[in-house]
Amino acid sequence: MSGKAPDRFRLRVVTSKSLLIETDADEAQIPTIDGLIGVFPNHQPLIVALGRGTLSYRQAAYEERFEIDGGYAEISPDSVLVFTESAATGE
Amino acid sequence: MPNLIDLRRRIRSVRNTQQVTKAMKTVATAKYKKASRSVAVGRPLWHSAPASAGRLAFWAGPNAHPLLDIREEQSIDVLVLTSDKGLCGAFNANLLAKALEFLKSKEPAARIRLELIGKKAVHFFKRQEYQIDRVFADHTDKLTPADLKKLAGELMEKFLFRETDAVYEVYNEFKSVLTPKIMIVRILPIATGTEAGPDHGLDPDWEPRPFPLISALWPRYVEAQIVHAFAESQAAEQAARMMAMDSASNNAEDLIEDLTLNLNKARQAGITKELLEIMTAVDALKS
Repeated sequence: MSGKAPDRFRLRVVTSKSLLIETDADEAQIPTIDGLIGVFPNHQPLIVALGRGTLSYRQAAYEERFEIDGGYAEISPDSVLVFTESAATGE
Repeated sequence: MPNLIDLRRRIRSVRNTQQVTKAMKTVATAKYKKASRSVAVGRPLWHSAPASAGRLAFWAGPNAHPLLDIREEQSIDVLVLTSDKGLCGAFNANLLAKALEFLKSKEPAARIRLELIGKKAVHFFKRQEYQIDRVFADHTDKLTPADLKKLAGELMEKFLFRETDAVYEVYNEFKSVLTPKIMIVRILPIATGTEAGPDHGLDPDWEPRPFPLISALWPRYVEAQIVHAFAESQAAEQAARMMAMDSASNNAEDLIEDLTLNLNKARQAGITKELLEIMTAVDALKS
């Protein structure tokens, strides 16, 4: 990992009812309308429409997953901002 | 000397009024709790959504979507949100004064059409010479998100067909229980952010292309803005009513205290007078 590149990114998941997550993450899997994409730090800026599926993220050894449905994500090198329709925590 | 019966009657009437204001305060408190909850759940979204929408608009570019189209404001629609009922302090008066000021500032250049929510706005603007397009004046608190979305849809349609060049909304935002904040927000065309933000060096990729993505997202965003303004206004109204009724109850309490003091003084004066008369009579008998 080079010195300048961020080694983590800020993940925020916002729904119309709450701020679901705000955390630093090493990696995230985001269900877009065209399928699951993996996001690592220093990702190319991307604006992407989301589909229905499971969003998961990993922070060191800790992993968490959420069901989300629609919305969009704004991805930049050091942050991921997800606006989604309805989301519930996975069991 | 004030009449005892009159004083008693006044105290009784003030006490009755106080009971009414206290009851209204209780009702407003319950409604406020409900309304503020619905505002609170939306807070995180409204904390970040406008900025994000602005960034998207910036990246998409000025001509990416008809909802972004900035035209000279020759004809504008203004949505004013007030309450149906009074007894909530300066809640409506302040808002309507601000709204009128805003309309006056726009008036020279633009033809104004109004969409009014709330009886107070309707009564107020009936006396002004603005064109009123739509009115929701009965049981405003029963308006559902679906009704508001329909209104948003109509406004967007008008905007897209160039019947109107901009849409504004004027509403009370629930800032704190003590003071609502009057907001004048342009909802159409959607405000473009002026910069991409510090952490975005590159133009982002879009998936799918900007137009279909934005076409799916922004109408929802405009709807959500109106629904949000309505929820804020409801919460602010109940908070204002709660405060107004609280101070009315306190004033009634003060008034009752004053009147009771006067009553006691008058009663005492009466007794003293009677005693004096008896003593005088006894003295007269003795001599």
